[in-house]
Amino acid sequence: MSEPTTSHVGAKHAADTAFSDFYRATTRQLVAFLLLQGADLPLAADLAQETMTTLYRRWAEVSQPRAWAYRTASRALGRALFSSRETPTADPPLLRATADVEHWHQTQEVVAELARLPPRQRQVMAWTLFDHTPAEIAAELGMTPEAVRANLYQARKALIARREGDR
Amino acid sequence: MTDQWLRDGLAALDSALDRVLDLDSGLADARLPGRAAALTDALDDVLDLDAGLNAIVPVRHRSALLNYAHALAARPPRDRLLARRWLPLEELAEVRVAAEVAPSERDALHALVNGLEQALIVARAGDNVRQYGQEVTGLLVRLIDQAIDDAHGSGIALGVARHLEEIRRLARGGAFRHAVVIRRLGEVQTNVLAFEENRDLGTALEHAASCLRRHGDAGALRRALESDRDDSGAIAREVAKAVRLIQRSVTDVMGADLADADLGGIPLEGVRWSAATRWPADWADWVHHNSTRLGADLWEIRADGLTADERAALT
Repeated sequence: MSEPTTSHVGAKHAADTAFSDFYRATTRQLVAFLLLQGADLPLAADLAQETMTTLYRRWAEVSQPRAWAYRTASRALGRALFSSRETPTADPPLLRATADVEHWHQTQEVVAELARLPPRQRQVMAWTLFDHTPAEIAAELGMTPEAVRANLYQARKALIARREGDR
Repeated sequence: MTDQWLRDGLAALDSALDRVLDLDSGLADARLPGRAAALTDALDDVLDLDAGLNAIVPVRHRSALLNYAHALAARPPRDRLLARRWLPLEELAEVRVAAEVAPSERDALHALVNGLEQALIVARAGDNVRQYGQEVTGLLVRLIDQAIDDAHGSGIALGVARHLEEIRRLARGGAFRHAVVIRRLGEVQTNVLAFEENRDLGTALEHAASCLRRHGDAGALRRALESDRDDSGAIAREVAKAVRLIQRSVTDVMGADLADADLGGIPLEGVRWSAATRWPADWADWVHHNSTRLGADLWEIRADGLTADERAALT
């Protein structure tokens, strides 16, 4: 019998470890990123898990996994929101079975506040809050950096105005 | 005068800024990233990262040997049987024995080794005996009492505890024959150290790995053994599970199609098969003739008519 070779077992173990570290460090942020762009929690968890599953299969060929994950998840959300994607019927493994989704949503003010922004402003704000520069956001969303800054400015103004109005 | 002018100018600037700056709004804006971070943290209540990760990545064990065992178990029956050519099964059995020692037994054994050393130091202090007599004897007896308790707790052969009881009787005797006590304690210590060595998991893993080094085969298995040797204290249970899985994998060929397998040089003692197992044509008679029926559809190959367990009980 040819036993599992050292190089195969060792390389796979190293890749699995690297991916696992990345998964633990990034998944929550990815879900939060999707929530701020308009996904509800089950959809955000489903899309994040789908993105990570695809990334795991392509781990060896993706050189910038964080950028890839955010880009892929964001595009998947766009398709989901505009194509009447069905709400996941099976619980994604990422979502705790005991999670009180509705209650949890109600306690997340920042999600509710961003939900009141126009879609483009919400999108730009979400990317900004997760450490993307205007230049990076422009490249991802097919906009000019100036348009990104303008949307960001309007988004900030709207958020401040709403908070003042709520006081 | 200039200083006063500057101070007045700064105060006016401050007041003017107050009219155009909204610090509350600015603060709210500056804190927005923090609220996004708080949202991320709040997701801990509703997300199960372990479950999500396990759905993507096969569960990895801490023990490299257990990962290896799972990879071996996933191979076809023919490959697993052929692995008997180079697997150090006896040495792996020793690894399993060492790995299955309970932590409490291991601690008691370690305490016994230390206790015997202390007793020997006291017994060898012959000058102290002459000068302090009963005190030293009392200390020695107490140390031997503790050693007897540790011997019982360590799972060590009862003979050790009986020897220690005899030594205690000698030490308590009116004529303190400390030379005899020293000799007998030394003998017990040698036996206990050998027992401890045999049950040290790191030593057993190293021994199994060295067998593979000598044969130059099975690099992945050797590296798994060496990797676990460095962490043996923490992963004993996984190591025990790994060896049980390896033993099962290379023993169970029930229902396997081995018609094309080259069985030359493979130690087949203990291999279990069923009526559905297909053997090479030139081996079938030998296998049938040298197997004992264990159950309705289960046979075990035994060259001398004994099971592996029965043979082990005789040694």
